[in-house]
Amino acid sequence: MSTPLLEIDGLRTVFRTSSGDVPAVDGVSLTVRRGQTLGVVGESGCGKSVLSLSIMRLVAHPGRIAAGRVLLEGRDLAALSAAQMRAVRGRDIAMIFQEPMTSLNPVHSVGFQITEGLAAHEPGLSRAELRDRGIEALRRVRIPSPERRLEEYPHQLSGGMRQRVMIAMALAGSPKLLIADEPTTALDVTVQAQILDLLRELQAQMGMAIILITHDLGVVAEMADEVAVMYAGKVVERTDARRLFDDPQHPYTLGLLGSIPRLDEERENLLAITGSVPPPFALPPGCRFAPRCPFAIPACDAAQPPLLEVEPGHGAACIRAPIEESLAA
Amino acid sequence: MIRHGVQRLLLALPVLFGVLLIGFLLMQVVPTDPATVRAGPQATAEVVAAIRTELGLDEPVWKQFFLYVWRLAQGDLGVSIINNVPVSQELGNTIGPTLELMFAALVWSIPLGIALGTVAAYLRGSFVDRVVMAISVAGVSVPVFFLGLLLIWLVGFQWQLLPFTGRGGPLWTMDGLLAIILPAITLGGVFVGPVARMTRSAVVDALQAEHVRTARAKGLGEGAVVRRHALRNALIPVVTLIGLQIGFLLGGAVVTETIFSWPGVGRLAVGAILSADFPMAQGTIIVLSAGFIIINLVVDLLYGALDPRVRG
Repeated sequence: MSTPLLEIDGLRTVFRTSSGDVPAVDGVSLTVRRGQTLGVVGESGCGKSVLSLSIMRLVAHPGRIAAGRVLLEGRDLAALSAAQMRAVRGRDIAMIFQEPMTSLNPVHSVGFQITEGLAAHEPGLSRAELRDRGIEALRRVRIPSPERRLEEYPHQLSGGMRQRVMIAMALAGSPKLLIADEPTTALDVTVQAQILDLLRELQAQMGMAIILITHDLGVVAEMADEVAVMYAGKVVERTDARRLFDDPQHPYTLGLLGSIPRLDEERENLLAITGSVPPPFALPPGCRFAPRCPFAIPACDAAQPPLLEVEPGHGAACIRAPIEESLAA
Repeated sequence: MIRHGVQRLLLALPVLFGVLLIGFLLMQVVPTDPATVRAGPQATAEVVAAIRTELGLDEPVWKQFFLYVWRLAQGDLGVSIINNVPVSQELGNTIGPTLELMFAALVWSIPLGIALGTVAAYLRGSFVDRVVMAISVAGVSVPVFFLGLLLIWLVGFQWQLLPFTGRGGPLWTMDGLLAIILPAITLGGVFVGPVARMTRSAVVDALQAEHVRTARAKGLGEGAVVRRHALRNALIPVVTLIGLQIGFLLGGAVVTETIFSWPGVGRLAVGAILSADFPMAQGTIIVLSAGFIIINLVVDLLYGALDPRVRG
């Protein structure tokens, strides 16, 4: 098998606080294959956004990457100089964010914001060439009359249009990997579906891999090939999308799935996971989900469970997995 | 954009009227009688009374005011009580040097303040930041007259490096350039601190914005990130605050012109007030306030140029 596009190995990102280093991402290992979509799911605060910023080496002070490696086509991003890393950003790995209004600069035109990244990576481009590339980028995300839109400012666009502009901007440099951090959360439901369709089409056209960060399992079901479920800074379950929905192994995943309303099943109540995510400065010593877990046994508090394969290609960090079998026993 | 400008201009008219009224009333409460001044120390009571009638000073105050506004509307600013020179002529002679001094003060202090503020904001919490902020606090705290006198004493008098009295000539001559250095440092010096502080806080805010993260994610260098995505955005509040601060600068110009014997409107104003030359004093007040109004108008238009959301 060829090298994966992106390989994250034991990544640990900590934030310095008055009471010591607090981990937001704690020993995460993931791989992303070329042209595939990895969904990263979890509640807010589980570290999924910090994970995406860590890949880009954009974690802001007082956060820093304390351990682990991020390999892009076998190249360790942590070992790159600042200038080399800038060459990776926007060209090899691009990123789109949750809130297209605040993620675009209100004082620059759409055209300027799309082309300035290109100009930084390819200094030889003339103004006319940049303009053409900008129009092409807008056309690719299906923005009508792109020549005119190029001159417009973010406040003149609707929310969906702004996210299209963000996508156009991210894809202008034809990246190998697109990190989409909650790309549809701030949008209306109908617009969400359009944006997801667009992302899928563009992926088929351009062949980039996508890391899709979301709290929305519906989005994962629609988009992802592989899924990683994160809880309190750790990956608790990792498998392909079909198996995650058909045969979830970690109690946390079970809880997440239980809290989705379904039309084809009669259910008295939606199952909610009781309690809340432990704050990163007060993590339990053993399994971080144990205090909220309906299946917890005393051994769960003893040590952190490693991510072990329950079956080939399906990992779960739970000493009681596979759950059904352990309940039957 | 043009409609916006015209609107602001029309709004300036009532402001100007208010300035006239207040200026006029202030001169009324000054306990000096212009007729006595005009007549001189040896004049008899009859002469003073005659002059008072001639100047219209025995009329009711409101009538004097409306007569004054009426004349003004026709472009007649009156004649100096002291030397009979038309006020408009004196103002015409002094306005050039004042504009020159303002320009020379702002042309270095605003860019320097913005640069210092931006560096401090980028290196927030560092040693550089603390040094810049200490300098700017000192700059804010030093009164104009003190800085001016200090420069005159050290640079002009002790070291004899630069001239410190009067205008050496037009700016494009060597004498003119040398003569404006100390006044421009004095007047601009008090401006660097406030501009640096304003810029720092605006850039600190702008650097937190999510679009700055987007810019970094595009692979832009830090210089471009700070200039295009933090400073460019921060200029909107900075320009507004600079507009407000320019009022103080006009006050500073009065002081600076006086201590450097700079032949401008400010020194004219001080002279006129001290000699109770009412028409002249009022003329200078009109010019200085009109300057303030125009600067704010320019700031308003700049605001539109800087922020596409205002252009609508």
